[in-house]
Amino acid sequence: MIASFRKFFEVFKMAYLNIIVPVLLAAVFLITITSGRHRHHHLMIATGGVCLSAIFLLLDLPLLISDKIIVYYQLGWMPPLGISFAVDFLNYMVCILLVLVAVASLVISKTEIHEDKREFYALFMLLLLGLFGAAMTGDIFNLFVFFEILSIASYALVSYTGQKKAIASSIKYLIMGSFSTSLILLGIVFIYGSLGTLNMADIASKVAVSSTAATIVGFGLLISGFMFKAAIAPFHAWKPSVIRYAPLSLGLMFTATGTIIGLYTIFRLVVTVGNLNISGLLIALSFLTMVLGAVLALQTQNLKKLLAYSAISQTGYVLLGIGLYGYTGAVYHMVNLVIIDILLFIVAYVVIRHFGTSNLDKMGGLGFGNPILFVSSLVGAVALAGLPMSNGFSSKLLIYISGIEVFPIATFVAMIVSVLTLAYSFKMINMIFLSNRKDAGVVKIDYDLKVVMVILVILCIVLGVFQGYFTGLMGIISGSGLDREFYIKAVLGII
Amino acid sequence: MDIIVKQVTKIVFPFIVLYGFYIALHGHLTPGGGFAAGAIIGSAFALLVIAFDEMDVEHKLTVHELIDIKSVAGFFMILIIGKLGYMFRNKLIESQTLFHLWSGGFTMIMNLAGTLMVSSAIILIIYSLEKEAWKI
Amino acid sequence: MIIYIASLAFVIIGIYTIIAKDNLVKKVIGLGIFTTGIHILLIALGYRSLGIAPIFLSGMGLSYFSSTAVDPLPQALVLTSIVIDLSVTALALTLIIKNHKMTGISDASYG
Repeated sequence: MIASFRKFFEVFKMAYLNIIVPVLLAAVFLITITSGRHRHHHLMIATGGVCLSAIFLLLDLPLLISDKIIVYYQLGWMPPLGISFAVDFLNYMVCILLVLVAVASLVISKTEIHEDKREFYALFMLLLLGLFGAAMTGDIFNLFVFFEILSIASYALVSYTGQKKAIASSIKYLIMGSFSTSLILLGIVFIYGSLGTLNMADIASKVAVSSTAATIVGFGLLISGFMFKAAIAPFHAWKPSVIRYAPLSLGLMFTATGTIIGLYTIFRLVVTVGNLNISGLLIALSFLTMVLGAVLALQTQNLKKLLAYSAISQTGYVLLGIGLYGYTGAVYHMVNLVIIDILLFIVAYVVIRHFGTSNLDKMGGLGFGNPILFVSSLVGAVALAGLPMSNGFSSKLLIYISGIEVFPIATFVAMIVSVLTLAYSFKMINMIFLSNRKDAGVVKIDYDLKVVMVILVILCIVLGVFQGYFTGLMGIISGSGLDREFYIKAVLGII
Repeated sequence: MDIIVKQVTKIVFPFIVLYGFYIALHGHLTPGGGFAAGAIIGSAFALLVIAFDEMDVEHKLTVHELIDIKSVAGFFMILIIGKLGYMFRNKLIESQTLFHLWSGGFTMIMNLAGTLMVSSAIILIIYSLEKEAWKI
Repeated sequence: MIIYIASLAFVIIGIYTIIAKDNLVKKVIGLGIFTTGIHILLIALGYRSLGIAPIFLSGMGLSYFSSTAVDPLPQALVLTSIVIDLSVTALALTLIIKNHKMTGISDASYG
């Protein structure tokens, strides 16, 4: 079986096909932008494209399990000369999470976006292309290019609704975002100038030997640029306004994928490529992120902003896990964070559509007529706060344990922020479901949204209850990011 | 714009486009290439737009679809020619004389395709910006 | 040496323009200046005085080639980055024009 797969891949070199699908779909949407026919199938085509990408990803899995890493050399040039794509378990998990988020976002966008808007789907596909490429590439300049693609697509998507506030927040996001990507370029210049290579594995093999001050500066610039995308605390200012004024499906896309891709690149650069010893800095920034996000989420009265601040606060936990050398907990929490984000955004979408506003003060009283909605948002809130038997608990527990081993104050701060998280998530539950407003009525939920919500609730509980199995799995995934020697040898083709 | 700019634009415009094609054809021998050539041709159209600002916008809108087709054609030409050049190891069209016009193999055709795509993209951007700024 | 100072000056002027100027178009110009400074730095990395074009001819030895040829990679990187910068600038100007038409404002502090 595996041998036949290997033959298949070696003949067709298809490890990157899930990137080709979004490119072609974006081209198709752009080409047909002026023609008037076939206006009602775009959502279906886009969803089908995402599913096709997922199928190509799943076809990679047997080879990945047998080889531990799939390396694709573009046009046959070996690194460090050519650009290579290297997919190990960490990249693979990131790609799977991206597919999940994209499907959920498309499901939500069904009623938010008119189906004849081809430019929306073209931009969405370009965003997906950038995300997949950034997740799979093994070359830092290529990473920069894919980051720019996804950034430009997201700047354009923020202003998509055409409202005044949306365009204003899009301009702010664009100026801040292209400043941060310029910082990434500057970091690449420093690294190339000091080490003379752009390939990640080659950098990893040279960084221990010939690293200078310029290399450190370069890594610092790179990581600060990626922290902008992940919305780590000093660079988080774009997220609330962008999510406040974009459509909610795009809000989910930006929140979840920005977190995933930013944290993945930080993990890859800090641990695998750079082997940097900056855990003090990461812990300090994660304290700032966690506390600031939780406090701001407590004070806001807007549901969309609350979700944005909550995502910022939870991002801090993953960063704390990386800083405390608790990589298993960090990866586990990243998976949980994405699942909880999708669940809460779907709940928020249904609720906002019902009330016609995102102001929490004008909501209330939904709790009695809508069991599915109530239970799923309750599970989401519980998991967000990390109460036992939920997936948030099992990942936060791993981070707490690594904190006790390394730096006990970190565990203390993380627990306090957990209490704050409980406070704001139950504020949300209280204001949407429990207040004594009588005329709230029954919310009409679409069938597909119901299915997705039930699946996500089951995932939350399963990831929480079977903690042992998933800890092992996440250990394997984070271990593939930790094994530097294997990565270097596999990508450079030494073995 | 006043009459001097208009007359000078009328005279200079074909030469800028010609220079752009020169850069595209000699992209593998001298500095330049598809992107630079496309940018030069696009800048010629920018000059046109700036000089004749009362040129009717409806006329420009009909240009859009043509430019769309040009851009898409450039995209697929790059895909196909790039793949062909890789498959034939750049050996199909080649003269052995160094610095001869045909010594680059597929590179010259790639540059032309790139010129097509980049110039149409830049013209599209400039026309759209102008439409945004003046009309509607 | 002077080219490094020039790139540093470009970067500083760009950052100053982004931070201090209130007009959005000026901010976009500042972004352009900032990226140009980075491009100059990148080109300066690959430059070699009295270098030759990086074409390997059969007559020259490998050591001679590697000690005199100019590094061609930074130019490719700069070209890619210029293309990206072009599209970012075009998108930014479109959004600013649209914002100006809707609100009549092109300043950051009111937008």
